[in-house]
Amino acid sequence: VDDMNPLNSLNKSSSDGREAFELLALRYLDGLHTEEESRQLNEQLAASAESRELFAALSLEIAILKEMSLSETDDSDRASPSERSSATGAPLAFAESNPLDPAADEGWLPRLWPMQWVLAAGVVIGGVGVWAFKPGLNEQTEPAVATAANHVAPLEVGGVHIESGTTKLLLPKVGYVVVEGPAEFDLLGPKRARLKYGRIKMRVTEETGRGFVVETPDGEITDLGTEFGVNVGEGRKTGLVVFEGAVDLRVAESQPTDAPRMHLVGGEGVVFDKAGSLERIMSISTGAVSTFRQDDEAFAGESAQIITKVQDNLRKSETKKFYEIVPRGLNEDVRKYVDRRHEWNGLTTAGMPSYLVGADYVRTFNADSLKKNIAIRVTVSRPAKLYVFFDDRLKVPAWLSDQFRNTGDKIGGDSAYPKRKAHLIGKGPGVEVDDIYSVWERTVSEPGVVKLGASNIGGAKAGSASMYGIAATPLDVNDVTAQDSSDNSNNAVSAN
Amino acid sequence: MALQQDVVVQLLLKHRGKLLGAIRAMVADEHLAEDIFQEVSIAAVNKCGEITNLEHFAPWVRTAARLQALSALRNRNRLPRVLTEDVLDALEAHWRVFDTKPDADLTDALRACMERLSPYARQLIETRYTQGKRGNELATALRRSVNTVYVALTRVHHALRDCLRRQMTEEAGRG
Repeated sequence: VDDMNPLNSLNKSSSDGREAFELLALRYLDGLHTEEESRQLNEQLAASAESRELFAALSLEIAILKEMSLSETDDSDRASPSERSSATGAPLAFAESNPLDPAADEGWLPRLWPMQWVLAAGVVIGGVGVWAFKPGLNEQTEPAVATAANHVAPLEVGGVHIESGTTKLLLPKVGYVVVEGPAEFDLLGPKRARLKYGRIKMRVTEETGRGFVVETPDGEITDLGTEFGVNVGEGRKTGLVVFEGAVDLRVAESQPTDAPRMHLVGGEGVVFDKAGSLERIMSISTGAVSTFRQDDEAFAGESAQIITKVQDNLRKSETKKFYEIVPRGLNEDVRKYVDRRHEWNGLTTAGMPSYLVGADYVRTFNADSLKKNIAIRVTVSRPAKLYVFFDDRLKVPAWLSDQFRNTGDKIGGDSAYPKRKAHLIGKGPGVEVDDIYSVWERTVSEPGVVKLGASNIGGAKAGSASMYGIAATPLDVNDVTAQDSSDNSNNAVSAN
Repeated sequence: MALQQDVVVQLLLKHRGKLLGAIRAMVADEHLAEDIFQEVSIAAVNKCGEITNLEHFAPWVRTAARLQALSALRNRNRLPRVLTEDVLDALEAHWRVFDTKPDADLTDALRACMERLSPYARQLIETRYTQGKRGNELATALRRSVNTVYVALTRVHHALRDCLRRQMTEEAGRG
């Protein structure tokens, strides 16, 4: 067939064996291969230098073709190649949208301001949206809304204005920040930035970065060596969540500059406005998004998310802690709790039960393990299997045994106590597992809220009880039908 | 003498495509390769003092990427589906061949080769790499079976590679 030989102007392929190998290599590089095909590829690459040469060249060729396509897509959309390459002499590509970002479906590229403007502000590492700002920039910035007409202006201080997608900015001697569009983020100086709107997740990795300040319209956040996220949205209060370490928050207009600041530590989150209103954020979602989502936000484009909200009955004045939902995040070595570095792992090297891998899961608070009156409400967006991982050292409470089924499967907890050598964090399944949890399961055939109770009803003491874990996997149609016929009334599930 | 941050940034710019190619070979996942490249870029800038000279740059990045890839693949239970450490060791010598060649040179050469492709071959490349379609999606767009499309794509790549090699040889001859 003629279209099977599209290269009339170039050489035809040679031997069938080589073509078969190239097809195998191409399928592998495109992620279409099976485990058996990867075994075959490994064998051939191990056996033949010619195959390795061919494979290396093919992988390089594909990567350059991809880069060319990015560059050309951008060319057609914005400045000419000659204009765009003038700043560095290198071929330029705009930032590619994060593949995990829902906005990525809308197109290849987020809308960024002209490359020269960004180049003048800092240095672009590449089309993936990893940028490095030059240190020591401390002059007043130009307006962040640059236009094509002023893109050659030699701005001294930089920023980024994106309409969709995410990008990661390097802040030398500070750390880095992930900016999720639509957003306008300006670097005002070596240790000060402004988020006018949008969402960021910032990590300070260098000691010299402590004290970095992020201004928002509702207040300013001072880093104290940490990772934190900020969300500034039109018509809503500003959200602040601290993933690790600590920050100080000063609300914009309600307090004088020398007023005491609110101190937030890892696992705490609040929404606030410039009038001084301040409330706890009950739960956030991370995982598939590069920054975070608050519990009151729609999950547009993330239909795969099953657990969308987690709430408890603790008074908002008692705590500012947030539950962290990690969509499709359960796997070996993932963090168990918001407030501890403990991890989930398979009990043995065989790993955790396979049906749990890739499940949505909730990082709860281990500090809640001793609270006898706590009630947790888990919002499930669609039919699902809901799992509770319950500490085998504890007496099984009625709320669990009445509404869930013990699968008989187990999952391990790898506890981290840095000062106790017997409790180090291990890598991989079956390593350094300290505690054993039973996997309890129930079918939730309709979207709704599932109520869970306390972990400790038997008077366990601190250190001898751990808070349970929560996870969910999607329910397929057959499961729903079977469940409907056998269990169509469950009073613990209520409509949203 | 170790490289400065500015130099590392420029090198990441100049060699991004090639480095991404090597990382993609490690993980067999275009998107994961991008994520790892981002992480490694940050590490390269922050740890530029560890990169002793220009020749050390690309091998340093690939080594860092291998460590990142190993961790990412282990977390995703994908280790049985990728290249072994021994094979990656053996591939290192083949990637080094291109280390001093900026992406721009390869891009120019490939662009010239693209002009010599048949319309269908160009459509194939355009649909796969510009539109980002692969597998069933690619086959549907071209109204052919997956196997037919991938065989054709294999031939296009083969031809492009031959052309690229000729271009490089001619360029070396002129140099």
